[in-house]
Amino acid sequence: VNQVILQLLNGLVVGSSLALVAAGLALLFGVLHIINFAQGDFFMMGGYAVWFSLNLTHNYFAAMLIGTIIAAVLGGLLLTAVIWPLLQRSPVLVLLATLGLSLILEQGATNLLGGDTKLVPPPLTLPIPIGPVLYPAYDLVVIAAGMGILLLGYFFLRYTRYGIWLRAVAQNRPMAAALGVPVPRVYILAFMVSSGLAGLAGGLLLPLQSVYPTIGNDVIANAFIIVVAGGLGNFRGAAIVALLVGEFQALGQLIPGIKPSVLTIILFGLVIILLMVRAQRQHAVVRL
Amino acid sequence: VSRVGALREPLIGAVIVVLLAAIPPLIGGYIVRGLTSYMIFGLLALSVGLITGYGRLFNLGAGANFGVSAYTVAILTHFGVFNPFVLFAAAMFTGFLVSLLFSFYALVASGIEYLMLTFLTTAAFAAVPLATLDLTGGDNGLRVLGGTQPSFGLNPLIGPSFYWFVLAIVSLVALLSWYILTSQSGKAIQAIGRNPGRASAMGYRVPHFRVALTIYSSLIASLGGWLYALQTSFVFIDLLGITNSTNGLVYALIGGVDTILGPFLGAALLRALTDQLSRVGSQSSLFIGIMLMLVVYLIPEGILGLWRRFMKRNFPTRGDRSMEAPEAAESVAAGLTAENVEAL
Repeated sequence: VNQVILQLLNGLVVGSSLALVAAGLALLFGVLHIINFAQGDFFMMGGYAVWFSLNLTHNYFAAMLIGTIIAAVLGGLLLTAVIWPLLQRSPVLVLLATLGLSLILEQGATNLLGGDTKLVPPPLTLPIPIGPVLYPAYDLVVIAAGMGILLLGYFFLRYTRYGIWLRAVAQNRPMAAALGVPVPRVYILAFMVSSGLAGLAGGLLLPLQSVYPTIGNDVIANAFIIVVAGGLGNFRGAAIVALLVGEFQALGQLIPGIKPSVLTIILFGLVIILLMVRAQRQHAVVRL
Repeated sequence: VSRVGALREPLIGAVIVVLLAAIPPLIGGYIVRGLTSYMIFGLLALSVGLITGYGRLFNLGAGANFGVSAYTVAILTHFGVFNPFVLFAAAMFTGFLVSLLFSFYALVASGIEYLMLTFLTTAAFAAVPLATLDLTGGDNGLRVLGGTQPSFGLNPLIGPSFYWFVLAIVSLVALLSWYILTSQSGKAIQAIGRNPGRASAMGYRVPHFRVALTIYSSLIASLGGWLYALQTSFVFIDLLGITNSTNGLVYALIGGVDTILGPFLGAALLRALTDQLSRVGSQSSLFIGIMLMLVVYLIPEGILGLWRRFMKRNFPTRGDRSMEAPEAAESVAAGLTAENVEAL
């Protein structure tokens, strides 16, 4: 029972940070109908940004804040530069461009920062008793922060002016523009929020997973699974599926004799089947 | 004039094949081995080019096909199977099984969804060796045993015989692809790619053609995987995964997906450049990224597409005009905006 509780909590840690990355992807897809392959690399950028600011400020909270802002601004600028010239073109071209950006960022990070892993000790090591198990306090902070940000994001989308504009553009771009929504500004906001969410997740997980140039690859596959399973462009769906995926992987480790790679394959298989069923239901046999 | 126009691509291809057959063995050494691998990855690129350019389905999973066939060869040699014909048949059969999966995707999805499905598939296949360490060697890769026996006794490292063998296969595949694409079915495939709705309304059975194209192009990638295993006598996890799949798509896009020679040209150019760069340092992914961006922004129709447009504008022949619809000069990208993806 102790093991189960422990893994449930671990699943929440992984799930809530994945949810941040995936929610960013879903937001971008919802607003612009594009898939951003470089989202995992913004996660990596966030990790490095927090690592650097931590070395400068020695204050974890300040470092998180600065790191997230750096990731949001830098990621937003990069996305704007990459995607803007392609806005009137095929989404597939945009996707290929972000794939190129991802490859460049990854190799660029290796060149600039070295291929080694940057470690950070957790700022809180106090074990907290939860039922019968002792759980590290920092992990609970990650869960709380992830959930809190997602809730904030939900209310932001629901009630604030820019949140409503974001949803309006996602729903009907020409109509929103005709009604006076500043579409370019909304796009740039979406870019920044999306990369900021990934950067924040990277920063939150820095003391637990550390950071290295190719960490984005490990994140992006899971994030894609989540976005696809949650329904492309569905912010809430992505968040919920992310928690499920985190729990699936954490609880799967309890089954004896099952390797993590087997779990990955099962997960991929489930999502592929889900996507095929959904596509089939929506568009008869062939989408024309 | 029109006959010459229609036969221009195979004529150019034939000249290239003769040159390739004659020159490198005279020079010998490293170039022969390099060109062999360019042709093998050219098959991967052609596979992606056919499905992406003619079928207008953006496939980011060709590595799964290539890798599964390569792994089939390696695994079977560990069970004492060295008969080259059996190995070939097995590699094509497993490739065919994978192609059935892609056929399902072609039936139920298009646009971004199809691309995501193929991407997830190649990612899933890349996790398989890690789950089956005893069979596949996991991260360490797997050697192909049996010396030169699996490759019909031809030694890929010594002399030009294996090179000629690959060249012959590649020429046959290119010729067959050209024949199919210029046939009535090929025209139907192109019509479906440009506008599936219209083609369907004209009575073409869209699902049949899409499945046929998927299986045919998948088998070409499998052929590449089989030859790769023979040439290098070693298979590893990246062959199955996103790296290889992305490379295939980038090669095809750079060369031009609406042609048969283009993917080979793209594969040769990019692999030659990355080979040079990897001697200086391991910057090949940076380089691939930059090339991908350049192609997306500057020449979405690829090098051969650009060349073709240039030729058509300056030296129009009657053959060109009668063969191609007016919108043919439009790039793949332009074609995609309206049709497949709008349905999202």
